Amino acid sequence: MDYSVYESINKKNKVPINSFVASIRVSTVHWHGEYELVGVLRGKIAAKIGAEEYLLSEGDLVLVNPNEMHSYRSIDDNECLCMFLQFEESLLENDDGEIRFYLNSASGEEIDCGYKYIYGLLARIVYEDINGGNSSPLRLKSLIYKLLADLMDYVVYDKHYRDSETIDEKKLVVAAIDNFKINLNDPEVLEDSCKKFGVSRKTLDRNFNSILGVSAKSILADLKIDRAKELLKNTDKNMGYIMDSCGFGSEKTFYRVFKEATGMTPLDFRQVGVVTEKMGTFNGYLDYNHIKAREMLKEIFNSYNGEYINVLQKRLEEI
Amino acid sequence: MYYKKDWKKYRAGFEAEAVRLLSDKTLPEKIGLMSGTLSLDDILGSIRKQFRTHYNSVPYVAGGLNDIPSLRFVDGTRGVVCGNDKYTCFPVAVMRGATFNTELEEEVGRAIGEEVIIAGGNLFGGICLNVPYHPGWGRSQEVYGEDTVHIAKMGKAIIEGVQSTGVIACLKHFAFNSMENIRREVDVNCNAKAEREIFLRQFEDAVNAGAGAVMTSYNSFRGVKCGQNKYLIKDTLIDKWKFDGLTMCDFTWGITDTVKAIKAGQNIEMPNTSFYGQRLLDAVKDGQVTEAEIDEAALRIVRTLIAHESVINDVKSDISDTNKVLEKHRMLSKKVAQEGITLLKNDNVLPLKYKDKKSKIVVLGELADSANIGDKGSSQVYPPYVITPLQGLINNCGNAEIIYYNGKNLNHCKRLAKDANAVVVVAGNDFGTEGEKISSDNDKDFGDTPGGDRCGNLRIQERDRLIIDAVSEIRGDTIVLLEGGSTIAVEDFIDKIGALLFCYYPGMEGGNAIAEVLFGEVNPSGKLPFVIPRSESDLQEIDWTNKSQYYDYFHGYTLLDKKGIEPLFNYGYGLSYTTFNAKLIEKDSSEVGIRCKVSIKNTGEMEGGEVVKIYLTCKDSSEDMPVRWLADFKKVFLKSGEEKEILFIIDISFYNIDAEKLDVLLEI
Repeated sequence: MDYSVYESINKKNKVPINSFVASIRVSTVHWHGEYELVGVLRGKIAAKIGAEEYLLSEGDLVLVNPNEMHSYRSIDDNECLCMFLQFEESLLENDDGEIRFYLNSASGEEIDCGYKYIYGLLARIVYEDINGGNSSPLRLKSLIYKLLADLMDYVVYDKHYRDSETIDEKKLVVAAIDNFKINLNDPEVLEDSCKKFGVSRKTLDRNFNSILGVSAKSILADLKIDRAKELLKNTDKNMGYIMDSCGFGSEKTFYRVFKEATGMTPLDFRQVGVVTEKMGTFNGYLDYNHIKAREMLKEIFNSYNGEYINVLQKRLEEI
Repeated sequence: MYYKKDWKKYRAGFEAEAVRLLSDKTLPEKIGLMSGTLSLDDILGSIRKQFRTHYNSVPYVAGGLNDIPSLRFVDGTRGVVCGNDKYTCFPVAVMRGATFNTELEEEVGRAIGEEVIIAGGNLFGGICLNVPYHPGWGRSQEVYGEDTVHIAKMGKAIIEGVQSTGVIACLKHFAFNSMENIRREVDVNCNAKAEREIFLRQFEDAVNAGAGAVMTSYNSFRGVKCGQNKYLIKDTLIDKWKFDGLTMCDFTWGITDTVKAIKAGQNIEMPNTSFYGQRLLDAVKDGQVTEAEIDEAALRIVRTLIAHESVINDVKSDISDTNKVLEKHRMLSKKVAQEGITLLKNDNVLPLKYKDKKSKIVVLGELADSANIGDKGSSQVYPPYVITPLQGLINNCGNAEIIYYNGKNLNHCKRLAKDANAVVVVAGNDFGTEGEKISSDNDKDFGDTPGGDRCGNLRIQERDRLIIDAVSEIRGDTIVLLEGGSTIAVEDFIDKIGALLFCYYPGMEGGNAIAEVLFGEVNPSGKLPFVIPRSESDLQEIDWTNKSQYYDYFHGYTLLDKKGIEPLFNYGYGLSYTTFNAKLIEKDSSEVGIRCKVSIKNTGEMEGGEVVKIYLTCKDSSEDMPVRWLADFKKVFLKSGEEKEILFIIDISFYNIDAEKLDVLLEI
């Protein structure tokens, strides 16, 4: 995960979704194959989606489409908390083009059912996912399908069609990045990835440039820096370990590259800024928050009952 | 094998055989030949379209005895309506009319004939020759256009094509059937000149082309129901035009009186037996009908059937590889769509150059993503697939990205339009806004399909117009594709868009053809087979609920000509990606008619097709004379720089016109 997520709450995989509540400090630019619906529970964040940046505060929500580059950062001194729901494209049962939703409460455009309604439903889903219980997978499924149907009925969406060549390019880029992440410690990861996917460096770079507008090398460098930052902030691993696990090859390179990217040395980076939690306490914090998050979510969807009934009535009138 | 023959003569050759076959038949047996065998429940059930057994999903049978073939009726106009997921859906007739290509239409006829045989039929009931008196007529899509001579020439082509397979070409709806919602009640009248020159001429030409069957219409003419109209059937069709084939009534409500029908010359009641059968037998026994009248009808039926069956039997072996045959027909369907698409406006927007990976083409409108192949009445074909405009663009856009949005949120339309290389909006009509009307107040059991005549206005639907308005705020190069069966009023938006193409209902391969035209792989060569006035009010008024309708001599472009009103897009208008230059190089009158020679040259850079049209004009400008009327046309294809000569011999006769006063007018 590229967020400072403390845990993905549901890993049971009985329902092909992933939901969690996470605090956000800063996340690097990233993308994934799932849709991601984010609701701000507390604080303020800046969400950068594609080239646009949106300021979201409590009660706001935004939907990020598959493979759309995005990043979040807190712009609040206090802890910033968000609920997340990720779901796979296959759930939409659409075999024709890529569906892209336009849902962003900070965009200034209203949606037919109102954002509050979707926000409440999202809280309900995340709550149900945390809550567990025998009926939970079924209820979760019913709520997910309800959400998807509502998205299709009330939210603007279009369909994007690209030729299979472009789709293959995209797949290659995503797969290569996944491979980079797993094998960051390998200084030869770029060459190894080419071998693994049976393409030349030139082809790999052409694909990266065509899909992301930057070279594979540049993406790899970003990933290394991110990993190093994460290890520096959240662990007390020594520089040698960090250097090796990020595949920098030599200490000299590590220092040079890190400084170019962040403006400071790794050591300075570790020392400046407040490292609020280390991994150990982080886990303990989660248990507390698990209950807290649940209460918070319950409060939200209870208070949004009115929206729920309004939309239901509207739907009945349409039928 | 290709059996092009003089059908009248050929059928006459089977007279003796028909007489022999009938010689040992009893009266009830002969009467049995004269009506359909469908039960009313079958008709109701199929019209309700339950369980995929739709209307005419198998050929409708009439008559038949052990040594006499039955008549097996297959409806159409855009292809064979039988079966599911099998037969070819061609572009609707009006789009085939827009090709102005009679050779191509003959090929379509041939293909349809072959599919009728594959479906087990022997008669194609899909040759609709009515002249749309007003473009709002719901079934305008089923005819070639608004001009009688054009309809007649295209009609002759399809008849020759269909009958080259042996399948009987059945003309409809005889006659004056140009109002849909009120079709079973309306009584039509017109003057003798309009009757002969505008509303019956194409039927007469079709009879001369050898058509083997005629279906009468539901409406009345001069107070008499056409299915039992002696003046139309016996006096005109049979006695005057020497029609030798068989007649049948339009389905179920086509006749209402046994004796009147048989005496008018009605041979077969379709598709069920109600007024013929027992009632006809009783009428003979009562002495109201003579056995000679039955014999006359039976002879026509048997002579036609056995003559045509003799050819069908030979053709069957040629088309035994059904899949191969059908595949070929689908490609023909695409070719027709390519030739029919009519480019009406192009401010240097087309052809599109955006096929590279970085290009984005935005496609808007519900119709872009719908299989819009025409109405859902008796001409509905159930093809194995339909390429929508969206699918066609996806198939043909190279590496470009296609973004589709239904267009409901206008802000989103604008947002997409800002960021695109090209914006295509698909607008127009569908089965909901025009087409055959099956339901009526008296027949609630017959389900309720929308469609019918366009009673309100001829504009596009508001949802589509709003999209065009929104996108036009962002850019002036919007490409609009119109789907529909006849004139669509475009005055609301024509000035603010960059390109306009009339795509009619382009058949199962239509989307591919549209994309090929947009990208310039195909040079558009279709021409409007109707006029698009600047304002709807330039057309004649019509009340679609009128039970007594008078058809004037003038309609469409002849009306606008007469009123001196310049239309927005005239009859026969259509642009190309290349340019042509045509001139009249010879002209003289001879005994066979006016003979003229035209030279035409492709003066542009791209290969393309053009339609040379010859109009007649008359120095006599009396009240009932048109300013000009179409006499002949010819489609030619020319490479860049190529030049061809075309010879026309105009042999059209006109009511009360002194040939010396005629002159020709060349148009491309």
